[in-house]
Order: sequence, then structure tokens, then C-alpha cells
Amino acid sequence: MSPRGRPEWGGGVAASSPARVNGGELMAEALRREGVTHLFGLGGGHINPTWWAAPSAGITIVDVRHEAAAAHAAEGWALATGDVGVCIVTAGPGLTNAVTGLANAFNNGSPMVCLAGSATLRGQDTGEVEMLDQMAIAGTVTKWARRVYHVDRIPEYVAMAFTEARSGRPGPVYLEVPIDLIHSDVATADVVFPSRVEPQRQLPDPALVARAADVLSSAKRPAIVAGSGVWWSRAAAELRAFVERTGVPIVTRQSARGTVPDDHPLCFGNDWQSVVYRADTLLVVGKQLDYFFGYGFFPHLEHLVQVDVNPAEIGRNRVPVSVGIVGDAGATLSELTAAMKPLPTEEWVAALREAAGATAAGKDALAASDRTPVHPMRVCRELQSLLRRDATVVADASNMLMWANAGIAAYTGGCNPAMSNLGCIGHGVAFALAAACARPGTQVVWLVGDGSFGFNAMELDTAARFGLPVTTVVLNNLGWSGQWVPLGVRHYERLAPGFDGVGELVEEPAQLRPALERALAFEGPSIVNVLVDPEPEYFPGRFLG
Amino acid sequence: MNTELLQQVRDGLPKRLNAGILMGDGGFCILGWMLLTAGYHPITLYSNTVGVVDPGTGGPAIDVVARVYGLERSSVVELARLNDTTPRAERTAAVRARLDALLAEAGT
Repeated sequence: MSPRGRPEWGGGVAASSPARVNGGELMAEALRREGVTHLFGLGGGHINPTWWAAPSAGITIVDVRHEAAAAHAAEGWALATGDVGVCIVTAGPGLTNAVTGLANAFNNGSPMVCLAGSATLRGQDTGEVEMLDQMAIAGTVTKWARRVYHVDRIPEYVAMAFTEARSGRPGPVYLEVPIDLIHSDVATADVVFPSRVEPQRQLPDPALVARAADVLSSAKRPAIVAGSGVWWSRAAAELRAFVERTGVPIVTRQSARGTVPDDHPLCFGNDWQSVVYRADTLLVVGKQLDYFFGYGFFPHLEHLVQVDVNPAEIGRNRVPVSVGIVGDAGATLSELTAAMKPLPTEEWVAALREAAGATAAGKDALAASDRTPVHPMRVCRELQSLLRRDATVVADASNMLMWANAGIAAYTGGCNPAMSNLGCIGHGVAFALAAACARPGTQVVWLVGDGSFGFNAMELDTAARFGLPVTTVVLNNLGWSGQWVPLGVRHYERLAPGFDGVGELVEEPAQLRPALERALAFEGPSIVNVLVDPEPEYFPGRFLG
Repeated sequence: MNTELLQQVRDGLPKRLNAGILMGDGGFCILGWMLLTAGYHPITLYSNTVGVVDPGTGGPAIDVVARVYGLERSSVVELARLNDTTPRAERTAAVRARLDALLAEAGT
């Protein structure tokens, strides 16, 4: 109960007097003005006024079972929609539980706002409950962290938070409001809501665009590697226009997956190694030169042209860059498209297509296997064949990710949200929850290993309470990384009935398709537990020079 | 040729080699095993088909193995192709035989 006698849990809130407004009401109204429709969180005394006010502002609170899921879901919303995701957590452990989600978004460069309660200002260093130096913690895993000291400034700080989350290289931001402040009120007449800063594209230097066009036009085997910057720039149309204008083949990585569909004649999915090691010139757009991209260390290349909104990304890891353009992905691609003519890439693309065919044949052989235990590639292929093009497939992490990368295609932007190079695991269910909220009526699948499943499996209860049809497919290789740290046969499918869902155990290949069909048809959470080969054969067909 | 290192590779070959991937949940291919034996840590190999992920000494696995072992590039390609095209049950034996031949050519 707040100092001003707010209603009981779930009772909603309205200003006790039109002339006064409390911190939570200000927060909710500020969020509404930023276009927020969903708030992922877990309640607590330090954040109650916002929790109570949000529904009256037209915001759906998706209350999860652990704050880690709240933060991951906020990032998942951003990955699914391109918009800023928002979570709200209480003080102390509420924030520490959310830190991994913030760190993942920080590594991914995903825009999200984490709202947190905190101990009272006056109670600092007194031993007050849930007292913690939250600013210091949040500062290491966000691009901007602030505390509000005056209740009337809440709208101003919310606006700043959204602007910071979206600007430059996007990322998570953190805003905390002490409990005494969020419960206090202010005269409505004293509140000013700042003007909203519309997202804007940073234009590239025309001279550098001209140089890049020259370099790309003179290449014999040019290729594009598109990364998350394309997604955050909402540049799918510009990317596709560039590819089709120039004829340059493309691979998509991380959040750029699906921005050009994998079955486009010039797209080679996410098999970047097959393309990059054959190319002589790369155009890298919005993709960090990080671990998941070989640190950009490709000595065989003649030229690397890099486009990134963040100047610090250009030539990272001492990678030699022929032309480095600081600019928005979409704006730069538009300029490059205008500056270039169609290139004679037919033979080069045909060679890549032939190589891709050999790789596909290897995958086909594994996917057709009737051996027991089931091969993971068979699971991916059977699943893919039952999905629509706008289905969301969240491939969680670790070993199963290599099978998802090889066996699950991307056809639509925002439908294959990816892990970051933080190496997080178990976050996928929260990404799936967010996608199900963002795209009601579409198929949403969480593909996960048995180890990672244990992290946040309780969020299937959240799916059940909100009627979200998340289909969980467990690639169960009986342990962490298969044979290394065994977990044994565990009947994860038996959890589903506890959440009013359906569970399926698959031990034989023939059981797989009917089980997936039943799970996908169910209007709620389902779990398909597939016992897969712990030591699966990979597929040949890689580029060996 | 670094025959001492190559002998270590041959003598320590895993019972099962994978195909098409340096290191995955089904184990190492011969290139991955050679890189691990030469001191490349697993995170530079994991889940990669041909790329050795190291900002200083990485690159295509064929080139890195050739450089580290002092082998002809063509010999490394041949070894990798043998690995990838031999059925799993016979793979380790076939690769061991090829390593024996390479060592014999070097006079060891």
C-alpha cells in the first residue's frame, strides 16, 4: 500500500486528484507517449505505483516468473519488432537478476529500457532492505544509466532513456527511481512532457560512398555480410534493393537474418564461412568484427568495405579496411545502390550456388536418416517443413545452435532472434514470449538444448497465463554438451501438463512429425522432448580451398 | 615439416573424428584436432567449419594448419578431403594411414 492509500493489488490506479499525479502515473504516461504497449516485469514494492498505473495507460504488463526473463523479454521485443523493449524490476535482487539480460542486450546492441526501483534516498548506507549500489552494477552492462531525484523530472528522464537506447549503436539503458520518489506526487500543472525525438538516420560521406562503389565494382568475387545494424536501421528494403541492383551475393548474420530471405537467388543464408573465404572483397554492413565473424580477420581478402553507425567499429581488431563508412545502414545502402551499376557476378554466384548445393546434399542425408537416436538435423528439417514463413524460431544457444543455424532458414526479418557473443543460454523462452506478444497469431518456437532448458523453463507458466502458444522443442542430448557433463534422460515433456499445455516425448524418428504437428496446433505452451544423438555426425561439403 | 607435432597428432588421434566441422558436439575433424594439438584453444575452433577464429593467427584452417605444421597446402587439403569423404566408421583409420604416409615421406 502506498503512502497515499493506493488501491489493492491489481486494482488499477487513477490520480487521487486531477490536480496531483504520482511518480508511477508519470512513468506510465511517459511510457505511453513513447509508444510502449508491453511492459515485461515482476512486481515488487519498490515499483508498485508504475505497476498499478500502467494498465490505465493502455500498457499490458507481462508478469514473468524471474527478472532474468523480464530483461531477456524486453530485448526479445526489440529483436522481434525493431522498437525499444521495456522491462521493470524491483530493487536489489530484482535488478541483479536482470543483469544477464542487460548484458546480453549490451553485447547485441539491442535497444531496451530497464526501469528499476531502488531503496530510499534517505536510507542510503543505513542497512535498508534491498539497498544496493545499483547504479554501479547497471553502469557496466548498459550504455546509459541514471537515477531520478525529482519526481516531476520522470517524463524527462524517460524521454532521455528512449533516445539513448535508440541512438548511435542501440543498446540497453537503465533508469532507476527510488521508492520514496515513485510513491510521491506532484502538482499536475508542474509536469512538462518533453518533445519526442524522432529516430533519424546518419548520412554517409558521399566521397566515401563513391570510393566504396569503385572498390566493389572492381571486385571479381564481391560479397555482402549484413549484420544487426541492418535490422535496427529498418533497412531490409534498402538491403534487398542493393543486392538486386548489383547482383552481389549476400549472407545475413544475427538480427539481419531474414531481412533478405534465405531462398532469395542471391542469398546464401547464414553460412558466412562458405562465402567469405571464397570472396575477394567484402561489404560488411552493420556487422561487428567480432568472434562470430572471425574477428574480421580474413588475410585472403583484397578489400574490406565496412559500414557501421558506430565509428569505433570501423577496423576493429586492427583489421585493415579499404573504405570505412560511418553511417546508418539503410541510408548508406541507398547511396551505394544509386552509385553502382549491375555487376557481372553470374559466374561467381553460380560457383557459390554449386558449393551450397554440395553442402545441402550433406544436410539432406542427415535429415533423411531414420537412425535412432534422432539426428538433430532431422529435427530442424521436420520442424521447418511445418512452419510458415513468418514463424518465429528462437534458437537458444550452445551446441544446438549449430544445428539450428544449419537447418532452420530465415524468411522474415525479426523472426530468428539471435544470441549475442556474451554466450548467454536459456534466454530463448523469454525471446519467444516477447515474439508471441508482438506477433499474435503467428507460430513461435523455442528450440533449446536440455541443459539450457533448465534456466528459464518456468516461463512456460507465463506463456500459459497469457495464452501464448509457444512451442518448445528440446534437442535433448542427455547432458551439457552431450557426453561431457551428463544429465541423463529427463522427461521435460511432463512439465507441460502442469502449465495446461501438451507434452510429447520423441524417441524414434517416426514419432517426430506427428508430435510436432500436435504441439504446433495447440493453443498454448507445448513441449516436444526429442532424444537426439549425443555425438552427431556433421555434414561435409565445406570449402577447403 | 614439424614431424614431432605431426607424430603427436597421429599418436593421439581420437577414436572418432567428425566431418565438415573443426569442433562440434560430435567431436573434431582432423583439421580441428591438428589445431588443438598445436595449441589452438577450443574457442577458436568451436562450431566453425573452416575458420580459425583468432584475431592474430586465425584465418582459413587449411592455411593455418599448413603454416603451423610446415606442410604443403595441397597436402592439408587432401587430408581434410579424406577426412570429410570417408565414412565415419573408417575415418580415423584412413586419416591415420595418411598421417603415417606423410611422416614416412619426411623420413620418420
